Amino acid sequence: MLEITELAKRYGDVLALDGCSLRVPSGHLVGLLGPNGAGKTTVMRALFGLVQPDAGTIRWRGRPISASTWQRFGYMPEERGLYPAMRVATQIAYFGQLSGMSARDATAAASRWMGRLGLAGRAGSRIDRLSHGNQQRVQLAVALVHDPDLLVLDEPFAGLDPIAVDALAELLHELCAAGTTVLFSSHQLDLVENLCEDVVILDKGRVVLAGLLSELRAAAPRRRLDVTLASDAGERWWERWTPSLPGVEVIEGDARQVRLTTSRCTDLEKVLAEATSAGEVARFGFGPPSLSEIFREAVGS
Amino acid sequence: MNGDVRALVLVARREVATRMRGTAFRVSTLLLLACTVAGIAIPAALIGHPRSFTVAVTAQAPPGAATMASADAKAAGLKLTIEAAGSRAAAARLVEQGTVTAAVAAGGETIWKSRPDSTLQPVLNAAIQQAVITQRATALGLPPAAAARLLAPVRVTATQLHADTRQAGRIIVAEVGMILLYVAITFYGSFVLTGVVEEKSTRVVEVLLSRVRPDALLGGKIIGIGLAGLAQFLAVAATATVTLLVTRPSGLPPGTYTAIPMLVAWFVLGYAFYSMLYGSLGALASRTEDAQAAAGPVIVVLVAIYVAASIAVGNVGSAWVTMLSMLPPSAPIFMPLRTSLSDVPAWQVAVAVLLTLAGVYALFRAGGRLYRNAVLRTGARLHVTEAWHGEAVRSSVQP
Repeated sequence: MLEITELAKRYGDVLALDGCSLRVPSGHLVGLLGPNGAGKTTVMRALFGLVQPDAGTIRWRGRPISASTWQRFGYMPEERGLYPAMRVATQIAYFGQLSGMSARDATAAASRWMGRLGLAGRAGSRIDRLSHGNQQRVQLAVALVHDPDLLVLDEPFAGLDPIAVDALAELLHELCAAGTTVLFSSHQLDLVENLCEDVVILDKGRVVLAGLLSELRAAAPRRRLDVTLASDAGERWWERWTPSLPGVEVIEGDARQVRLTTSRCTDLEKVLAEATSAGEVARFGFGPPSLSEIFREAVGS
Repeated sequence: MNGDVRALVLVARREVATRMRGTAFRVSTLLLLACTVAGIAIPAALIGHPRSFTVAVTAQAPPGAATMASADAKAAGLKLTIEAAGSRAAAARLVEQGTVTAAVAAGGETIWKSRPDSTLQPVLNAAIQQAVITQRATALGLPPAAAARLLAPVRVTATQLHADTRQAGRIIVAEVGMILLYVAITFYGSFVLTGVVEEKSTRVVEVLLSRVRPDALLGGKIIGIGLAGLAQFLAVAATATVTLLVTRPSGLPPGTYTAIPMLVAWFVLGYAFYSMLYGSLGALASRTEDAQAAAGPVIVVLVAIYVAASIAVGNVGSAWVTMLSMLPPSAPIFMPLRTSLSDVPAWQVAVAVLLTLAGVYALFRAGGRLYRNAVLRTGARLHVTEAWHGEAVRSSVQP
């Protein structure tokens, strides 16, 4: 279990972390989400002592973090970095050794991870001769080579194509199943919606929402409602009937469809009846809000 | 092994491997070694004197001249081979062909191809004189044994009351040493500089610092590059010693051989001092383009010391030279310069070494702080004061 309590960090006038508290249970895959500048990278850097927090504590398995716990952590920073002229296998093994592995173990682990990440034929290549995608894989191998207990990935999905996103998500789930605790960050809330179940949402240095996504959705005060007509009904066709319905708010719409949010107690049959008065309803979709809608709701914007 | 020490060793080993495998290192080593051999052997061959000669002696030459020439040559450390020639014409032909260096003919005549050899000529002259005078003494009735005793060579020695500090040979040794030290310290110091900046500019430093402490990273880099540099420096020093021993150039000043280990020792101290400066100032830059600007102060100091040292060669007795040879920034260049030009009291060398070591320690503390504070800051080049008051990476336990 990773426990971060009341972490605070100020850079001059900027409050990067403002009493941020979160926990990552062992063997869980947790997404640390939030817009750019929310403080995600600062939290992650603080985990490795790369940032000295002004206040707050970080505990791993009940103890304050130290040099020996860092040896069991793996980190992929947002700013990727490798030695450009070093060979793939040597580089991965070198970082393994820096994390306390013997030369023999590190070399074996490097080739194991190269095989698993599809770098098998690249052992002798210089990093700067690799494609962008393969460089990302080496970066991941460097974070994983010593089989860390806690894996911290800063924006691991940024810049990946959909297939690579799926492959990485699958790998992270496998690691969790094998007992690794994984914390990753993303500013693209909707991208990770289907990738992890546990989320912590950060905004302006504070945790605004945390928990299981399904529970967050279930607990969300508002529902999403999509109404689509069979034919065009003119500009702002919904304004003829929505104002009379209590608890209904308009998000966006065009000549044919509209997205609304409703409160839990809104009478849906009444909404459908009103919509039908505007034209033939082709689709009436009701569901839980998306992650970004939950986020907007939580930060009140 | 302690985690930090283990990390330091790993970092140092990577640096040694990277440098030694690099083309720049291999090419520069070969070039340096070639320059060392050529720099010693070519002048030795051009201005040095041959130590072994063949001389033709005609039948008409003063009797005994050949024997005496051989004996005199042996006493002077030369190897002389005598070749008998039938006539003066035959001897002259041998000289003309270059088979022999000179020929001795009748009546005290010596024959040379052009200019007489300055080493061989006095030997031959003395032998001929001795032979002719022995002949005359015998003719006057003196028994040969008495004549030999009378004409036994007189050993004349010269005693210098004051050692000549401006001796040309010593100045050359001192200047070559000074240039070598300056170049080596700048060269390997720049490796530390570019190494630090490269890790920052490629952002690999954040991956590294999530595993090792900044002190181990900087220390390992300095030690690793230093070991590679020392290996190269030792190779040059060993090659220079062997070449000197083989070619034995004339006019080699006393103390040349002790100057070489002295240079190696001062290279280690000077490198330790300046590489800390290069490394910690390098951390202020985030891009390769900024590296030289960040290291500007070190470069200025080194150049100023080099220029001052060039002036010091002609003023080695001055108080300011004595002073600068004992103070840290200049001692690594000035002290070896002084020791190869004059006799320096041992206590002064000791003071220079101790003060330089103290300087290395002070830089290790201050430079280490700059490095820790600056190494993760990217963007525009940092000012020293900004980094000094900045936030350190992994330097203390979190609150």
